[in-house]
Amino acid sequence: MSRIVLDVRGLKTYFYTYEGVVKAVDGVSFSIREGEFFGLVGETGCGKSVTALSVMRLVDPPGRIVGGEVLLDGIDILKLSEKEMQGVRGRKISMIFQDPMASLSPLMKIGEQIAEVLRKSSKEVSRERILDLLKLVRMPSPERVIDSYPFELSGGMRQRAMIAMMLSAKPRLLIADEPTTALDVTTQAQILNLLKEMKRELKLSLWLITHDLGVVAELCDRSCVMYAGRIVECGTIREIFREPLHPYTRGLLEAIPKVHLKVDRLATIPGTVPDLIDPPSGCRFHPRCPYASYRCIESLPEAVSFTPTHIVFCHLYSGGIKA
Amino acid sequence: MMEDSILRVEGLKKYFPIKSGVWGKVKGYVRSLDGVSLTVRRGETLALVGESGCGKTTFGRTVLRLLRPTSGKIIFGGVDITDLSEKELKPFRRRMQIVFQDPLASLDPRMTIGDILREPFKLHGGFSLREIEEKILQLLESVGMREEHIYRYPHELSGGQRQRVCILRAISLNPEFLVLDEPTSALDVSVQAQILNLLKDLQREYGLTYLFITHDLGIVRFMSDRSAVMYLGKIVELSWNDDLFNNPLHPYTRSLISAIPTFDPELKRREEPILGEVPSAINIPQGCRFHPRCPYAFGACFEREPLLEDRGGGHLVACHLEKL
Repeated sequence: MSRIVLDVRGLKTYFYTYEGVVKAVDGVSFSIREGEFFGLVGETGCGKSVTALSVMRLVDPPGRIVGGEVLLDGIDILKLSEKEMQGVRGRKISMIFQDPMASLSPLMKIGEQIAEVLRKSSKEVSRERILDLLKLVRMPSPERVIDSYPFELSGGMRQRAMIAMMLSAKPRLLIADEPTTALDVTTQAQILNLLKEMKRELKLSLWLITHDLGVVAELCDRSCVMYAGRIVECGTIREIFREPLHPYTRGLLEAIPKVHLKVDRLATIPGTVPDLIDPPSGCRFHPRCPYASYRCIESLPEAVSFTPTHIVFCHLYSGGIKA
Repeated sequence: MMEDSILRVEGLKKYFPIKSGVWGKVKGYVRSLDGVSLTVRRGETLALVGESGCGKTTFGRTVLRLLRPTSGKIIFGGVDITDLSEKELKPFRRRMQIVFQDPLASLDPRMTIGDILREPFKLHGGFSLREIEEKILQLLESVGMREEHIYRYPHELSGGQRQRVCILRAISLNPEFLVLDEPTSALDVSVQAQILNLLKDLQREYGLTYLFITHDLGIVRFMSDRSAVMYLGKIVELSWNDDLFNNPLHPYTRSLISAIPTFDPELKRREEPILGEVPSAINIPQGCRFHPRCPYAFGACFEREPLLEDRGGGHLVACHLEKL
């Protein structure tokens, strides 16, 4: 088995607001191996983006990381000084976001922006190197794009430019937060193919954050599902999609209208996502869970392992019996 | 055509002028709708699918006469409404309604839910205050909301509840025809499922006809009976869903279907995605407008625009290829 690049242990990030303490991330643990594509899935407000921002140490006040460890190649980056952390961001861990237009400077040409990033990691910055990077991400007509401004490019091309920029320093890990959500399906398919090619060619390790289970199934090797600040289930893609165990994972998968399966009614998860200032006791999913019992209200479910990769946090399985 | 059609659209065009300079000289047009013809049958759900910028939203707004068409005909319930004045349109307004994508943007933040729901009754008149109060309570209960919500403001509701209010406002005067413009794309999947089920229930209960605009083919499969695929202001394929999904005839439809991630990890993508992106509606390619991205393009595609033809059983396609 390949080495572990990122190991997150018991991460807690709270937001101290006037209304109270929002426990956005409340004890999240997972790890990502070299060359692995890992997906963190969940609905709006489940804490998936805050988890990524915590790993990058980019959480703004009133948010604060209050517990846990984030080990990058064995070193706890939560203990680094801000100056040391600047050497990690962009060089060891890079991040791309949903809206590439918001991450690119509208006043600089694409080539200049890539050069700016390149200068941080190497002394030799030439037009050829920038063109090579643009070719690496299969940019159409790179000779023209290098002298273009972001507004002159389409959404797909902007996201390619972002990926080129983020790969320039050969990071240990690329975090992609909803990288295709703003794109059309055909463009999304192109970007997903590009990321797969980068995986083969560069042995890229990727942490994908998304609400779209389809994208996870398509792209990732392994995935964790998050609900209300906690991870509820982890497994290989096959385990999550073929043998989902947690009632929330099952509910999510059944709620999606699928192209290849005509149904008369969609399965729904009753109720709504809880308030994270005063989250439900015990298992946070219990108010919406069709199988909830008194145990789920009283105590937090422990991790139950079915296989070395498939872990579920649910009282239904604490006896080891399948529901 | 013999079926009972609620809406018939013929050669509908909508061009937006591009103005420049101090005098606002028109230097070109965005051809959002470039000759669209279709019929929506009473009681059905017709889905309109396409990527951003294909003109699907413009179509939805134009057939409701929220936008004035450049040319073409809109026949609603047997009456030509293309050139009616606002005043003449008023009786039609209560028969056709629309639900937009972003519920927060379509609800006035300074009005309570009660005020919002009372408005259509007041605008179209003929109801006593007591009748109105009874009706809005009935409406709220029919979608699983409570009396207390009458006194709340939009920002106090969840996304799903807001969209329920928008739907209620649209159906409150018993319309016949509803345009649903991406009504769930701002919602999470678990809430989306609740709203889609609700829309199906309401359709059954009130005998509504839907024009469902979306980019999500999974939703199309769930919601509609027939679907039209749009590309750059034109319909490229229109058919019953079973035919469309199992036997797509247009290369664009085929690439759209194959571009959707499958939920089966064993079933990875079979085909290479199509190249490039949708061109601008200002400079529409000559001939078939899809030809620059089409892997099958040949001579005729560069020269002539293909017509939308029936290939049997009501499966319409606009493509020069004999078969795919």
